[in-house]
Amino acid sequence: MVTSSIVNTYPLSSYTFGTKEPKMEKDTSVADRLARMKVNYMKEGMRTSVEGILLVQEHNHPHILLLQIGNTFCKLPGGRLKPGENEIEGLKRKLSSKLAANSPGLQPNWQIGECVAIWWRPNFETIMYPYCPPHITKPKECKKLFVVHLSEREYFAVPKNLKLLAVPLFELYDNIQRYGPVISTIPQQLSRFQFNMIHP
Amino acid sequence: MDPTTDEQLDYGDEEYGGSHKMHQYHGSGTIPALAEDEMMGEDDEYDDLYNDVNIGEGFLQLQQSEGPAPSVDAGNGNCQAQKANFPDSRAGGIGSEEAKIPGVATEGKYAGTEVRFPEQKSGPVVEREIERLVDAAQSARPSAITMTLNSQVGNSGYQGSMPMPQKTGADPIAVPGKNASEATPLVNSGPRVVPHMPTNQLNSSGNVNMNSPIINETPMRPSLENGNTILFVGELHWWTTDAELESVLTQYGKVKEIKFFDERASGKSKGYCQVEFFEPVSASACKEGMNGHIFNGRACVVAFATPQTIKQMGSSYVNKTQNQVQSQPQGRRPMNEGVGRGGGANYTPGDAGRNFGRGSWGRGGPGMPNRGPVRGRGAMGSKNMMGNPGAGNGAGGAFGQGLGGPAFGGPPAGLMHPQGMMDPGFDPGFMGRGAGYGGFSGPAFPGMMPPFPAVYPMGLPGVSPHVNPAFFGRGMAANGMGMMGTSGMDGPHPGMWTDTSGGGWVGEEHGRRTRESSYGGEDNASEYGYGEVSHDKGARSSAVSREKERGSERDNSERRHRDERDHDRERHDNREHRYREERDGFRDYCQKEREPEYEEDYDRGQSSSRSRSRSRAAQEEDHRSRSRDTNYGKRRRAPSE
Repeated sequence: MVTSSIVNTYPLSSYTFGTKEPKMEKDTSVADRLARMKVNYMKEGMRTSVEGILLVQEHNHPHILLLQIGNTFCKLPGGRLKPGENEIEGLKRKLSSKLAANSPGLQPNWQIGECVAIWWRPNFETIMYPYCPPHITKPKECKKLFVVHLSEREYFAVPKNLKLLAVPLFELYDNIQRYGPVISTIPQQLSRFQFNMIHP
Repeated sequence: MDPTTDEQLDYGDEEYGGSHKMHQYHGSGTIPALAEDEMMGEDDEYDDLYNDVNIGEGFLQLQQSEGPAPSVDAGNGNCQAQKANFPDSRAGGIGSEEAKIPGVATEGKYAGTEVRFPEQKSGPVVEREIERLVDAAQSARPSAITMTLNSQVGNSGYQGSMPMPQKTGADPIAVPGKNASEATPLVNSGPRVVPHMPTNQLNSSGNVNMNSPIINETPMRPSLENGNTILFVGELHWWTTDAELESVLTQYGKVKEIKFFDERASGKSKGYCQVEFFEPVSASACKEGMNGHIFNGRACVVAFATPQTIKQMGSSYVNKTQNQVQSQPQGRRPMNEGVGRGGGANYTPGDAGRNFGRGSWGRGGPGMPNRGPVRGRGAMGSKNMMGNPGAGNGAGGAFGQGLGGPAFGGPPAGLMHPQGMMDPGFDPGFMGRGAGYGGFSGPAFPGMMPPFPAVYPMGLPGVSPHVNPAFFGRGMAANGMGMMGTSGMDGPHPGMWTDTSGGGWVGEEHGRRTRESSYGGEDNASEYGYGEVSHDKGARSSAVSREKERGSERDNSERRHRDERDHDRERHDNREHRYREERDGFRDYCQKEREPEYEEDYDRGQSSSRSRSRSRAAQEEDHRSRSRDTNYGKRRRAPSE
């Protein structure tokens, strides 16, 4: 893990984007997702999920890469860790699964940075909080957000059923309705970083 | 009655103790015995009706109030169906002559419960309950009638009665009169309540419900076990954890699920939870044994869950205040399903969900968003707010309210509500604010209730997601109390509010005013400097300017504002221009900054309020505000600076 308060961000143009086979969601509905979560909880205990904040810059402003499902729902690349898996390794695995091309030769070398946010899910519901409520001793999920330092050149293969968007920070800020509490507060988490905008 | 009531009340108090009651009941007399006799006789009449009624333990509890007779029948009916013993037990338990069948009807549901009466002897619980019931019966006033209401088999009938019992449980004092009103679906309180409530009838029926109906969603369930496996545990601190609760619960049996009710916006516990056991026996045992257990220095309350309450709790976090208010005045009303909700209807519907509708933007908005809904909720109970500014944990209250005032009592619940809002964790400024508002809203509310409650309390938070509550808090806290209490504010405010019933803006206006004062002081000179222009314009609605000011005050220093005033003027629409000139160059400036973000909200809200105020007698207001502002300004200068 790279611990640095300086983040180098490169323009979107320095990255190449391709496509790959669709990566379908495992759950068809929120209810299914929660039900599956419950089952997994019984088996494995609290779920730990990791997500990566991939930053690029455009017009001298940091942008975050988000995967858009359907027309509205955006999420960060990442996912659930296997039981006992290391967070960093797990995140690399998930990033590759979501964004890397299938061929082994084109696997990006992910540089995982700091963990900038941890969100907790106290019940089997969709609500998460940036803390574990005091009366909850057994949260159901813990989600960690990490900054990912991208190198100057990368090749990303995006599943066909998803769209990769570069969303500026100002678009996320104070926009909880569109992006939810986790993503819309990323600008605050990143405010302490110094962005090194590297122009082409 | 009275004596009986007293007795009941006493008993009620002791109910938690459990065994006390039994003795008391015995002491009080005879009632049980008599009841039995009476019941027996009456049973015959009702046999047919209650064939499917399950008596179960719950029944006993319920009986207290009226139903001894009816319940007996029910029991009998059940017994017949299931166990022959019931009738006897029922009779004893029921005692009340009125024994409206309603209770019985519900009982039918209990048919299958293991708890059943007949086994009265089987368990101390049962006995106790019988005792209670008997008492209830005795004391049962004619409320039996209410029971009849419940007669519809099924939960509905039950519910009617339930409310009462529950209330009593919570609120012995309130019980006598209020039972009806408070009727909260919580059947749980039934047993407890019984002693309290004169309206035992309800209790009985309630109890009955508890056992069977409660458990099942469907009203009539002959096959329903009397044992309800779902309980509500309330009056917990928000920091009482699920682990602590579970460690105590497991003593009574295997726990299937513990579900805490928390505030959606913040995740904080409301202080009550729903516990489901695998076995009804465990649930009953828990209810008896754990009721009153001290968790972190606070005695909890355990009550059975009724299908209604479960639905209510589950579906949305019903606004406690709503229930509170409702139950009191409504009397019978609460009996209906969704009673709490019905009452709550007056309040912002948005509150219905956990997230008071505002949650959507509430959370995201700067600062308070999360708090907004929460506060609003508390605030909604304007009465609550006023009564208990920052009292403490409203969790218990919430619980009660959600259920329409179940066992946990109306008054406490009411109290809790605002308290909930004002938890230690909350910004004291809010509390001040709340209090302040409360003060205002008091007079204003009665008249404006429907729009205001929703708006007003939430006003601050709710008015605009972008409004930073901290600002309000600051302003208010510092001067709010003073301001509120002061002079001018009161006068104009209510007026303003009435004018601007544009919901959200009410709060804002209020806040604005305070803000103005802070700036006002500094501005005074400048204001007058701009003088001519502004004075003229001043007449225009001060409200509007105030509104603007609020936003602006929030962030910018006056100096900057002044400079920008001119710019701002041009920028804003005509109305705003006018207002601006009036006094607040700097205000405009502030607003300007905010505008991009908040303009939409402000405009929306403001336009409505503005037009209103303007039409009204802007001048009057202006004058008022002006003087006020001046005063405020002086006063507030310090704080704002």
